[in-house]
Amino acid sequence: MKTDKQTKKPYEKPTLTRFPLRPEEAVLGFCKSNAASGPSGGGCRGVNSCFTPGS
Amino acid sequence: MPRRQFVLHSRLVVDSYLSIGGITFCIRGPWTWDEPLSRFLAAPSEPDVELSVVIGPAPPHSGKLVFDSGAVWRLYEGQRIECRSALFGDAPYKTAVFDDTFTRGTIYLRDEHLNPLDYPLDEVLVANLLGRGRGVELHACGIIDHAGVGRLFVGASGAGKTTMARLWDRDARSIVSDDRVIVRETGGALRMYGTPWHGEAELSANESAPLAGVYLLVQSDANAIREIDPSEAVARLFACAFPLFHDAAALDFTLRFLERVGPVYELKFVRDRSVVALLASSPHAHL
Repeated sequence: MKTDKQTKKPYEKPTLTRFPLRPEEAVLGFCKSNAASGPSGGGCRGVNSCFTPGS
Repeated sequence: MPRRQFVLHSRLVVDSYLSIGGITFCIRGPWTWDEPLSRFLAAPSEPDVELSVVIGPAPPHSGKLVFDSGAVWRLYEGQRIECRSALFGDAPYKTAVFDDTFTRGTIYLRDEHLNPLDYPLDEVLVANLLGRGRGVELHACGIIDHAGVGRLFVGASGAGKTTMARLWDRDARSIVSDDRVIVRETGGALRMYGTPWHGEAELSANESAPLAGVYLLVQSDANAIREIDPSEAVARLFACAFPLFHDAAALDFTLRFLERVGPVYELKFVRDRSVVALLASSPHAHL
């Protein structure tokens, strides 16, 4: 019979992995001047881009 | 008969129906719809979401700011979304006030030439609906092959979504979007839906398919597929989602939903059609 000591996995220090989040894309905040309507797109009736293009 | 003509005319011009991600929207009023939203027009049916439109300013309010997107839109207490543009001065060019479930609302337009659901309100509304237990929108290219199999290629801007869409051109029955795809669970299975919010190739289609493969895109000098750890998968998918950062319950739902989207593979790919052949013969494409 194995004891608790024998079955325990060796301790591994926790690691932190960071994955980049692009907030300007994630919050749907920016018009996509070439790809969508809105004040910078088809819905603006010819007005050119007014915001940084989005994703 | 004049009366019958009037009724027919009313049905044609008074209400518009859109279907996005399997959610049916009814927009009251005689609106015209340009591409790409026009691809999502649907036959009249019982709507999930009903929207009225008023030309004129919205009633004043005293609700506190809940979330500022940093650009076009802000959310205030009372489920009030205001869209502003330098083109229209300080006042909102569009304000939408919804009920707590975002299934009923009124949109106030400052200019009758604006469309009530112009970006970004359409996508912000859908994000609020999905975050309340319906599904997740991902920054992804969605491809349905000739066998009806849906594959999702996920990545932030520049990851290669539009490139992948173009590589699949001959082998795809449909490319539902080269930038934004909705994933929902129906009948115990995951399904992907096209959206009007496309990428550089302007590819979008109102079609859906069972989801059979999820791949996180990494451009490389050799093709390779590896299954990634579930916790890493959730983190990387979350970074490519459009969650409601201001709503704890919706964030919790989104994370739990993403746990069910798997297995997830990292796909390193060369920018040529060899990756299509690899995936077409891959046993990985079965969830």
